[in-house]
Formats: sequence, C-alpha cells, structure tokens
Amino acid sequence: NESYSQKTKITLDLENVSVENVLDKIESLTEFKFFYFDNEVDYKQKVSLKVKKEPISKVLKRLFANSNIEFVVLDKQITLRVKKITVEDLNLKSSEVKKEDNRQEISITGTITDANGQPLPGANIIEKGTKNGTQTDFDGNFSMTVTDENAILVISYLGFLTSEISVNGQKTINVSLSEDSAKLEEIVVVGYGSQKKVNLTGSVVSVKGDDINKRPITQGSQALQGIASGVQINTNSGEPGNDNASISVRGIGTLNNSNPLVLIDGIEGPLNSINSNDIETINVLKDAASAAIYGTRAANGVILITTKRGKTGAPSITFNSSYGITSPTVLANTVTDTRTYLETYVEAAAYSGRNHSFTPELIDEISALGSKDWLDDYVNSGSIQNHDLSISGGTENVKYRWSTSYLDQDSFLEGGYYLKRLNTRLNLDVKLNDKIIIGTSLSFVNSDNRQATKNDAPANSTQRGIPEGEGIIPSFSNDGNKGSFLFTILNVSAPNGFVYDDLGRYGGTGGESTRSQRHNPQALIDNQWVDIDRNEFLGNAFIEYEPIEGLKFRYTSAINFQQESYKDTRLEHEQYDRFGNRSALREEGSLLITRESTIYNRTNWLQANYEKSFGDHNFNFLVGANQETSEIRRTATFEKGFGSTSLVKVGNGTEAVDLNNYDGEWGLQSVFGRLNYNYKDKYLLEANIRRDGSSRFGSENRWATFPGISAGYVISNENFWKSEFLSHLKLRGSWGRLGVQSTNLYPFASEVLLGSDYNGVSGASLNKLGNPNLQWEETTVTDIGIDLKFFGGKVSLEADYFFKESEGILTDLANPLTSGIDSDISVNAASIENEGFDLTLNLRHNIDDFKMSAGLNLTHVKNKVTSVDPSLSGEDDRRRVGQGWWIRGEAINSFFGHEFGGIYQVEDFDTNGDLLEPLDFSWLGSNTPRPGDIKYTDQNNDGAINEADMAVIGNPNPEWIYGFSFDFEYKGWDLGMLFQGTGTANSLVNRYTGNFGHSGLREYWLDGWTEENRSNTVPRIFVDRDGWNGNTIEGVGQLAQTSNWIIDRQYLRLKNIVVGYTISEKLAEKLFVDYLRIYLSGQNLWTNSKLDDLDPERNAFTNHFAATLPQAKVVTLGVNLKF
Amino acid sequence: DDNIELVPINSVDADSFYTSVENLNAGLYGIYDALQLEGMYGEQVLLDGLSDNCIVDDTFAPDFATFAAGNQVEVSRTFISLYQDPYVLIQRANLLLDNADGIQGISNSDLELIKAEAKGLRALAYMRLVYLFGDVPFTTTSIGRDESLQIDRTNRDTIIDFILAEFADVATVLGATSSDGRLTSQAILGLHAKVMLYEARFGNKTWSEALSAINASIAAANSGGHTLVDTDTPENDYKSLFTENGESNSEYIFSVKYNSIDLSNSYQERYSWQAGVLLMYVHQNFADTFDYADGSDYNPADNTFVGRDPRLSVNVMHEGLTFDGLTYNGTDVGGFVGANSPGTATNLFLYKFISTDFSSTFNLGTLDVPVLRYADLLLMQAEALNETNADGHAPLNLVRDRAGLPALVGLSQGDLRNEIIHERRVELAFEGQRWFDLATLGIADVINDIVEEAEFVDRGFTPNRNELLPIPQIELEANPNLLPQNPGYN
Repeated sequence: NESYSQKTKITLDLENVSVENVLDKIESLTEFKFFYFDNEVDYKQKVSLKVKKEPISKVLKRLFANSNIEFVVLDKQITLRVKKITVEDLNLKSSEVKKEDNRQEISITGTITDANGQPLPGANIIEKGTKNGTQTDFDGNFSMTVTDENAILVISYLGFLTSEISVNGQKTINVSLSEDSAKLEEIVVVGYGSQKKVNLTGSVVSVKGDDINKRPITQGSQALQGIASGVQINTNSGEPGNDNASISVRGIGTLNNSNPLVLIDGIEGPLNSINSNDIETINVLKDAASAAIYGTRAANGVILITTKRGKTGAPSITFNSSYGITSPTVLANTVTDTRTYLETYVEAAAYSGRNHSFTPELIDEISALGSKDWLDDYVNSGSIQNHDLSISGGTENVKYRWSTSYLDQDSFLEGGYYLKRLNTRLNLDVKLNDKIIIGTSLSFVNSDNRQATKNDAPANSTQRGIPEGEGIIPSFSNDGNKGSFLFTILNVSAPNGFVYDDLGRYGGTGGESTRSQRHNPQALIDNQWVDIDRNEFLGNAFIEYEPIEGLKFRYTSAINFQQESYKDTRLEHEQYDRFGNRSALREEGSLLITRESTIYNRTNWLQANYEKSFGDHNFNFLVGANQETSEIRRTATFEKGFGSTSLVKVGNGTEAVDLNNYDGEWGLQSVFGRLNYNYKDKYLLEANIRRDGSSRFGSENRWATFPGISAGYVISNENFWKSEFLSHLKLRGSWGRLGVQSTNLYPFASEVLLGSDYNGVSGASLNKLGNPNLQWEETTVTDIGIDLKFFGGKVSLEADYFFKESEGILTDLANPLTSGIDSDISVNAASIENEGFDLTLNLRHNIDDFKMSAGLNLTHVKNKVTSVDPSLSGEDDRRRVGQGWWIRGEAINSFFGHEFGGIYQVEDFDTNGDLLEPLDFSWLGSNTPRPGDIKYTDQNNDGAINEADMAVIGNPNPEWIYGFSFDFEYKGWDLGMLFQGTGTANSLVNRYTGNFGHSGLREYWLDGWTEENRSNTVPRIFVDRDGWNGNTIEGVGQLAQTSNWIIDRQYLRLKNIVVGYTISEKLAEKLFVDYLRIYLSGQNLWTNSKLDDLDPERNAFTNHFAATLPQAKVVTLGVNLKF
Repeated sequence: DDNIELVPINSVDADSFYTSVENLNAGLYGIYDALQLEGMYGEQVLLDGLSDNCIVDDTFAPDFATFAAGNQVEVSRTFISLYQDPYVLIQRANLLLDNADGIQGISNSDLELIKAEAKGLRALAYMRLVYLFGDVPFTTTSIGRDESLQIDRTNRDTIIDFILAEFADVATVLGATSSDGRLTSQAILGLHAKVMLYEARFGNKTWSEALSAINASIAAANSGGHTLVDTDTPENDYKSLFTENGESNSEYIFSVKYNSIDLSNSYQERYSWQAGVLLMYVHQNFADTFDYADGSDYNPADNTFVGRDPRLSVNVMHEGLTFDGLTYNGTDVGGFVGANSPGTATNLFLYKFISTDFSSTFNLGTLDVPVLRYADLLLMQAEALNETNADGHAPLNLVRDRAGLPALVGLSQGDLRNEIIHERRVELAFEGQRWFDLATLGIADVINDIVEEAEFVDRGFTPNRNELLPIPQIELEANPNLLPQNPGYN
C-alpha cells in the first residue's frame, strides 16, 4: 500500500527561481499542498534545482539542504517549518532529566489527530515550562514521560491551533487538534478564477461535492436545497422529468426569469441534468460584487459548478449505486364513498335548484355497485435507481477522469411514466511542457422521458403555438404549468365511476346524469402520453499558456448543444355508462402534437491573469473577453383526423393540420477585468468591471457597463489580536451593479408577420411594436458581511446583510388599445427591492471516536415591488399576472382579493330572502347571496362590494428560509440529517368543486354550511358554477377571491436522513477495495405543514385540480465503493 | 459586430416590409383580416345582445350583460375588443398608406386601387368606433406606443366628415365587382348611405341628402347585379340566405368572409344550442314581435308559433322545429341536441346563421357575416322616402313580399315609420343592426319594455348614458388625455 508521497515522482529543472516558485511548481505538478508560515520560511530565496523522477522527500531534502527548514509529509500535505529540536535531541534530553532527578516518572502515551480523526505525524508535544518534549510518529502516536503528575502538555502542529492539556495523572492522552482555518488556504471558486477563502470579500456560499454525495441526489438543484444560505429551491412537482425546481437567490428581483445563471466549468449549462457525482464543488455568488464579473444575467445570482478532474496516480475507480422506493408525500382527501358523494350532490342540487334523478332508491342502487378510490388505485409507489461509475488518475503530464451514470426513475403514478437518463463525462488535462497545458471537459446526456399529458387537449394549434424566445422548452414541459392531466382527473373523479364495463370497455358515469363526465383514468393512461427525448452535449476545450511566471493566458472554446423531441399523443377512445350506452367519445380522430427543438450555443473566451507581489502588497490582475452566440430552432406539428389509432404519426392527420416554426438567435459580447489587492492578508480589496453588448437591444442601448467593488478587513490578522476564543474575525463589504437583458430575443424590433390571412389569401400585419429605447435592467446589491470563527474553527459563523434593488425591470406591458397592437411591448418599467440577511453557522465537536457537526443556514428576505408601471399613479399601479398580482408597495405575486367576512347565516336575511343590511353586489355579477354563501368585507363601508374593497390578502414568498443539519460519526458509522423549511408564506388553495355532479369532491365540503350545520368558515356546497359561490370560489367573475382560501404553507421537512456504515480499512484490504460504504437514506420522510392534503413545496397557487404531483418520499439503499 | 447585430428571423421589420408589390398585397389582406376580429365582425351577433333582441350570459360577457341591464359598466374583455379591434384595422391600414407610395413596380392605377381599399376599410372601422363610442382618438398615420399614450379624442362630427369624404373618394376608385370578397364601389356607396342615414336620424344631415346617397347606392348596387334573392323555392328558401350554401347570394353587398382554413367565426360554437353552455339566448319579446303570416298583429297571449311570419322560424329555434331528425319540445332540459344544452330562460335559441343539419361540419364556423345586404338598402330607402314625405311603401313591400308577407298600403307617415323600424328588426335580426338603429333613432328605451323572463335576467336602458359605450377604463388610465369618460359613466 504505497503512499502518495512514495509513488509520486517529480522531475524539475529550475534555474535561479524562488523557493516559493519551486513549491508552486510542485503543487501544480502534483497534489501536494505546502503549509508554512511566511515568517519562518525564506520563500524569496533564489535556488536552482534539477531532479529527475525523484520522490518528494528527496526533492525537498535537496531544496532545503542548507537551510534550517524541515518538512513533514502527511499524505498530500507537506508542512514546512523551522527546525527546532530533533527527536533524538529531545529523547536524549529527557533521559538526562531522568538521570538527574529520580522523582516519580509518569509515562504517557497517546494519539494526536485532526478534527476528522486523521493522525497528525510530527506534531510537537512539550511539557509546559520545560524542554521536555517529543513528536508523534507516522501514525500520530507518541509516548513520553513527565515527572510532574500535574504537568501541562502543549501540543502544536502547523496549521492547527495549539492545545494545552493537563496530565492530571492520566496515562493516555488523545488529542484532536482543531484546524486554524484562518491559516489554511481553503480555496473558493469565484468568477473566472479562484480565491483563498480568507481573502474573499464578497458573499459566496460553497458546497462540496463530497458533502453532496453522501445522500442520493438525482438533480443538481437538490444538492443546494436546505444547505446554501440565501438560496431557495422549490420543487413544484414530483413527476419524473417534470420536477425541475425553481431557484431564487436572495429573493425575486425581477419580473422575468428569476433563475440564477448556472455555469458548469465556466460555460452556461443545465443544472438539472448533471451527474451529481461529477460535482467537485458548487459555489453560489450571491452579492453583486462577486457576480459583477458576469455582468449580464448575473442579477439573479450565479451558480458555479466545477466538475471533478483527474489527479496524478494509478487509476482510481469509484462506483456508487442506489435503489430507492418512492411514494407520494401527501394526497388529496377526496370523498371516496359513492353514497356520501351522491347524497352530498343531492344536497347541493337542492341549493342550486337543479333537477336530478337521484332518488333515495337510485342512490341505493348505485351505491350497491361499489365505490372507487381513484387516487388510492392509481397512485402507489415508484422507484429511483442511480448507478455511477468513474475512473480517474493520471501521470505527471496527462490526467483524466471518466464517468458514466444511469438514472432510472419510475413514477409513483400508475401508467408507466418514467425518466431514464444516461450521463457520460470525460475531463482531460494534458501538460505539453512547463508552459502549456491543454484540456477538455466533455459531457453527454441522453434522456428518455415519458410523462402524462399536461392538460386537456388543445382544440387547435394556436393554443399550442410555438413559443418564442430562448431556452429549449420555454413552454409546455417546462413552463411552470407542471400539471399532469391524469393526476388532475384522479383528484376529481367521482367514486361512482368504474374502470371497465362487462365488455371490457372503458367505463364512465352517465345514464342517470344529464351532465357530461370525467375522463376514465385508465383510458387516459392507455391513450394519452407525452414522450420527451433529449440529447445534450456540453463540451469545452482550453489551452493555458504561462509565458512568464505568474502570467497565464487561457483560451476556452465551448459548445452547449441541446436537442429535444417532444411528442404529445392522444388517441381516440370511448367511454360507456353502466347501461352500455356510449357516454363519451374522446379525442375524435386522435390528436398528435410534436415539436423538434435544438439550441446551439457557442462560447469563445479568452482571459489573462497576472499575479505579483511587491513585499507585503499582493496583486492579482485579470482581464478577459467572452463571446457567446446561440441559435434556436423549433418546428412543431399539430394534426387531428387520423383514420386509425395505430397510425398516429406525423403526416397522417387529415384535420386541423398545422406546421409551425420558430427560429431565433442571440449574441453577447463582453470584456471584463478584475483587480485584487491585499496587504499582509489583512486589508483586502477587489474591483470588478464588465462591459456587455447584447443583441437583444437596439443599436443605441446595446452596450452597458457593470462595476463591482468590495473590501475586507481581517482584524484577527492584526498583530494585536490575541483572542483564542474568537480566532478569526473578518469584516466584508461590497457593492455592485448587475444587468439583466430581455428574455425576448428581439424586443427592439417591430415585427411584420405573415399569417393575417383573409379568405384564403395570405396576409401580413404588424404584429409587434418594438422598443428601440429598451435598456438593460439593472440590479444593485449592497452587502455587508462578517465572518467569525471561535475556538479555532469549532464554531464558525458567516453572516451577511443585503439590500438588492432592481430598477428598470424589463416588463412586457400591454400596448395602449388605441395603438391597435394586441401584443405586449417590452419596456423598462417596474422596480423591486429585496432586503434581508443570510447566515451560516457551523459547529464541530469530537469526543474521541465520536464526531459530530451541525450546521444551520438561515435566510430572511423581504420583497417589495416599488413600481410596476411608473406612468400609473398610486394604487392604480398594479397588474394581475396569473393568479398573483404585482402591486406597488407589496411583495411580488401577492394575493389580492376580498377579505373573508364569514358565512351568511339565515339571520342575515329577511323573509323575502333579501339581506337585512343590503349590499350592492352588481360588480360581482348578477347573483346575490343566500344563507351559506361567503360574506365579503365591505372595506370602505360604501354599501357596495367592488374593486375598491380588494386588499392584499396573502404573500406567496416565504420571508424565512432555513435549513439545518446534523452529522454524527462513530467508528465506521455515520448518521446525517438535513431539515429544511420555510417560514410564513401563503398559498391560495381554492376549494372550487369543479363541475360537481360529475366531478370528484374534496372532503372539505362535507363540513360545508347546511341548515343543520351552520358553519361560519366553510360555505355551502353548490353544483357547478351555479349561484354566488360558483363565481367566488372559482375566482372568476370580477376576480372575486376571498381570504378564506389563503392558507399558510410554511413547513419544516426532514429532507434527508441517512445512516451509513463504512467498513474498516482492514476488512477493505481483504476485500481488495479502498473504501466501501453502505447506506440507507430517507428523503421527505417527515413534513410538518398546515396543508393537510397538498405538498407545501408545490406552486403557491392551487385549485381543486391539484394537477402537479406531490414530492416523493424516497427510501434508498445505496453503496459507495472505491478501488 | 455581426454577432450582436441581429434582426428577427421569423418576421420582417416594419420599416423594410413595404418595399415590394407582393408585400403590399399581403399588407392589404392583413387589413381585411382585421375584419374577422371579435370586435369587428367576428362576434357581430353579440351586438344584438345590447338591443332588445337577445341577451348575453353575464359570466360569458359581463360587460354586455351589465350594459344590457342599463347598469354601470366596468372594464372587461369584450368592450375592449369593440374598442381595440377597429384600431387594429386602422393601424394596419395606416401603416400601408404611410408606406405604399414608395413602392416600385406597380402601376399607378393598381396602387391607387390598393390604397382606396385600405382607406375604405379604415373609414369603416372609424364608422364603427364613432357609433359605439362617440368621440374617439383619430389618426390617419401609423402611431407607436408613445403617441398612442398621448393622443386626444377627436369630435365625432369631424370624424364623420372624414368618413363620408373618404367613402365618396374611394367609391370613385374602386371597381364594381370583386371576385374574392374585397371592397367594391357598391359596398362603399352603401356604407356611405348608411352613415348618411344615421346622421339624418341624428339631424346632422337632411333626409334629402340621405335619400340621394341611398338612391345612389341602390343604383350602383343594381348595376352591380345585387338584388333581393327570390327565396320561394325549397332549395333556395329564406333560411338558405344565411347558411354556408347561400352566403354568396346576390343580396350580400359586402360580407366578412370566414372559412375553415383561415379564421372561423364562433356563431355556431358559441351561440347556438349546441354550445352546451348558456352564452346567449333570444328574448320572448323578440319572438313576439313577429306578426302572423297574413300580416295581422300577433298577440303574445296566443302563445303559438304557428302561422307566423316565416322569418320567425328562421331566426329563432323554438318549440316544434325539427333539427337533425329531432323535434324540439320547447323545454329542453337535455334531450335535444347532444344532450348538452342546459336550456335557457325562454327556451329560445339563435337559429339564424346556424347550419340546418347536425354534421361534422356543424362547428366549423365557415359562415360569412353580412356587413351590408340589399334588403337593408331597400329599408333605408323606405325610411328616407318616408321621412322626406315621399311614399316609402314600395321598397318596404319588396322586403315583406320576399318574406312572404302581404303588402302594406296607405299607412300614415308615423305608422309607416314604425313598420319600417319593425321590418328592420325582423329582417336584419342578429346582424348587429338593431343596436345601431335603437341608438341612432333615439328609441333605445324600448329595452325597458322587455319582460324579464327569469330572476337573473336584467334589462334596462339608462338615458344619457347607454347611448354610447364607455371607453375602456384601462385605456383612460394609460392615457389621461382621453378623459373625460363618456357621459353617465364614472
């Protein structure tokens, strides 16, 4: 079992260079890291060195042959320090002491380790106040004798905090030293480079791949959820392939796409399809000064993913495999008993004045046929399996890492919905000579996804037109409309339906009902599906040239190619009622919608770096240029009228045949620069600037400049700082400005399009007004942060206050009606503020073999829309967007409606059925309330319910986001728990019954108002959209929503719990493996939420359809293996 | 740099579009296309829901229902279309007219023809705006966002003068016939006559001016081969005038074309019983207005559909009519067509413009929507003759005779006026004419006479307000120069 230091051979040929350069060189050639104190090692000393394939120990011996420097090699860490007393000297001296004084001798043995239990060879142990001392051996063990049973041992090791231990008569003393993190050079990836964590002045949160891969992760966003402060991840749907999470960094600062920029090895790429085992680190740049180097598109934060690369050494093989069983976290509470359902319907029909044929006898007869619990029958369990293999290694000149992974996910929704994804990656680095390195990162992803159809079938192609703009799937499968039509139907199917009739035909309701009916779930499964096949290629290749020491040029060329084939098939089928009559003919002639999309993104990027120190003044310069171009191609077909359900293929349809096409391009050119300066690692300063030119603006406004500046002061590095309690203290401050470009590709251009046809002749018309004056949306972020470490890093805290202000937000506003242009125009209009703080607290403590750590991250963010359309005044400045509202002075997407004032009771009406205190409801429509209906609050007491009474009744944005985790290790066992949650946030859950009568029913309504049960919270049930409740509950008819549908969706969730066992090294050796860990993990196993029958992570806007699948509970068994 | 100086791939910049003859033609058809919009002729039948003919469901078109009740109207979808869609046409026409003159490769006469059509359609759009909204923003050049946020309203009389001048001008350029549904000089003269008639009713023009415009229009129509269609044969009955097969009849002077490959209209889909939801239904008041076929007055107490003016059973689906082999029992709680209809308060449905058979093409909406019919011209002529103290019986009787009703003779001017107004109501029902007649004749308070058939039916007319629709609130908010709102709205 040859150690790294033994098997690594080094070749050097250096003339008259500094010691520091030699060390840098060795670091760059190998994985060795040097630790030393600047004041101990004369690193400026010039030396010449020529070695050929020699081990590190020989090289270092020669390097420091004539100096007072000694070195200790611990695996890949090499500590340099001033020679003090040799071990021999010490032993000699202690024996002399022994001879001189024959008092009682206490011999002590023990082990010195780091916080992770790794032995520290070469640590110094000295009896305080004496010259008596020793060093630990290779395994961290030491033995020594002291003469005083109250002696104090001083244990020191470079890079760790010195520890003092009282002997107190103990014979065995085991000590674990805490890292002096301030002295360790933890490296954090920042824009276009990396930075020592200690020298960081911006706000960056970093997650290590090793931490991610302790639990099973199927997509990149999961890796960050609950872990990274300031980052909110919301996964709206649990459907495989349809579960892309929305990510926001420090609140929503734009009305456009608020997802952060994701860069994989410097190139924009998809976060969700990356193989999580390929991730070395994920860093999130949260403040503007850090992100300003990315100028445009960085306003929502930047997520930098670095993938693992090969390292010198023999091939190392890792294999990870996991298999999990999934089930829904929660399902709707629906009425599943036919009798209850029909009797409730009869009651509702009576209120609604509906005729029906459900006599008690008929109800008896139908009830005797049985009840269906559709959700129970069709939502069961699914599976996730993930297998990952990687091989990495390298020689001095060529390093490689190859990996492949296979994900196979089966939905817990019956119907054979799945996602199968294959990832392959090769990262390669080749050193051509001392000055030139070339390398590449290549990744292929292929996925095959079958989903349930999203919605009811579109009637014509215009409802399924081709979306404009960037992104491969800006609509349909990725459009926030993450529904599943099948799941919708399961939620709203009545219990008196049946799957098949006696002849094996699909069943339905009907016969005694004059109403139409719901789809048959089994028929949907058999006849409707969406297939999405995707291929992604993400590749970059670079060359790095270092002409003189400290100056590096790097050129990278990259391609991000994505292709998607989307096919929505709906076959004709029939449903029959219990009397054998055909009760429905679905999708007559069948329907086929297909779409082929490709995106071809190309990046060319050149940068130069120069690092130079003048005495205590350290400088780092960066300049660069970047160009990105993108081509988007989409072609879609829509056709109906197929003569056979077995030949539903493109081109066979005879009706409503339509072909659509969209082509788009965008381009972005940038130059950027950065200067870092630090003085003695105490005073830190960084300035960034970026200038971007985007094709999405008119010629006058194409270019914009985005500056950022930040500074830090490491107080604990001052000479006067002596505190061991607060061992590290840094203050940080930053300010920067970022840009957002339009999500539309050509917002500056007025567009004339064909398609305004008349009488069969092709016509053209002005379709869109361009805005040549459109400018960049700008976000300014001010950040003040503090980093603290106590007890040498056992406790650490990073906290930031931020104020984020977005102005001139690109908003698509409707044109004035008089302009005669029906489409929206892009303008710089709205402004939004986000203010808050985020913090990360980590604790670490070891008691012998028992190691524990805990982490907490907390984010508080308050969002306020300060303007939607500046041309509107005061309270007029509001706009409904989907179900939410943008209202000046309120949080984005707020709920705006009427205050719930209870339920109208019988006593509120006179004998004629008129209200005793009349209110004018004409604004709501022609209906007037009856007992059991919802009462609106007349906010302004003007005797009328109208728009003036609307108020903000809820905020969907959580102001508090948090996660906390605990990790324990004991011998080979490990236990980890990750909790994640949000504070108060509202969800609109309207309990609209749908077309009750042929629609399923939520149990909610069983508590509804009746003459006997005079509820003041649940209104009376009704049929269809009849009467007062229909409008108010559905939220149609003057948008009359009430606050009683607003529910708090705060939650706390045990996102993950994992128990693992790692076999001992001895056993591993016998099994011929380096590492073997087996774990059992549970995801989303426990949730505390007020939403009794909806997943709290789902979209904030919900009606009875509940079309998105809840998150999955997953129990996973997995193995991590290394050879 | 080339990489960031990009232009749309799927469209052409407005500036560079009008550079070829081909594009000029495409632009012209783009203007015609705007006729199909909901707020132009796509939902023309809805306008009858403002009048006493029928009523629109309040959840489908709340603004129509609220207006029809004589109440204050808030912003909603449909009135926005009525306001916006004419401007869509105007924007397209203005853009073409702004750019047409520079185009090479077209003869001057052909260019003038295209420009005349654009102008004629633009004047038609303004005509619609003025009679619905009164004073409205007026521009004859293409405007962008900034200008449309600033523009003032122009006095309706100024716009009427423009419309009349434009019609007169255009009529001299346009040809007498058109093979593909484009404007003809007869159509323009007819529209000109219509404006003159409305203005004469308002007293802004003399009746003799109106009469001469109408006479000129009829003369032109006659020379163009337009005439009343003889509808006595079973294959070519009165109903067939308003069906797919009959829509090219010589009585249509101008109509908006619909077909299945282009935009289809929503009449059958939305307003017939087949819709399955109650969107619009016919007032009993309307059914009762039809006389007996022998010319005698109908008494609602008779409660019969037998022996009535034959047009009743063409306009209205009522008890006893047979459709697709099923006989309507007049109560319709299901069981009629496709078991889908929820029934209506009056159990009367729109039947005019609805296909006579239930087949796969039932819902295609390929039916043309008439803008101007020859029968309309005759009734206009009768009215103008009567108002100029001449004998208006003859043209009125032509229309009655075609419908199978006996001629009227010797009526006083007042009685004849009432008969003409009545005849306009029954002959031009559901063609969007009734509301304009009520408004320009100043008799819209007849709406108050409607017997409300159900609790949720609310009809009324508020004088000094309901004569005009309100300018959509959002437009007033966006452009305060449009204030004040029309009288009576706040």
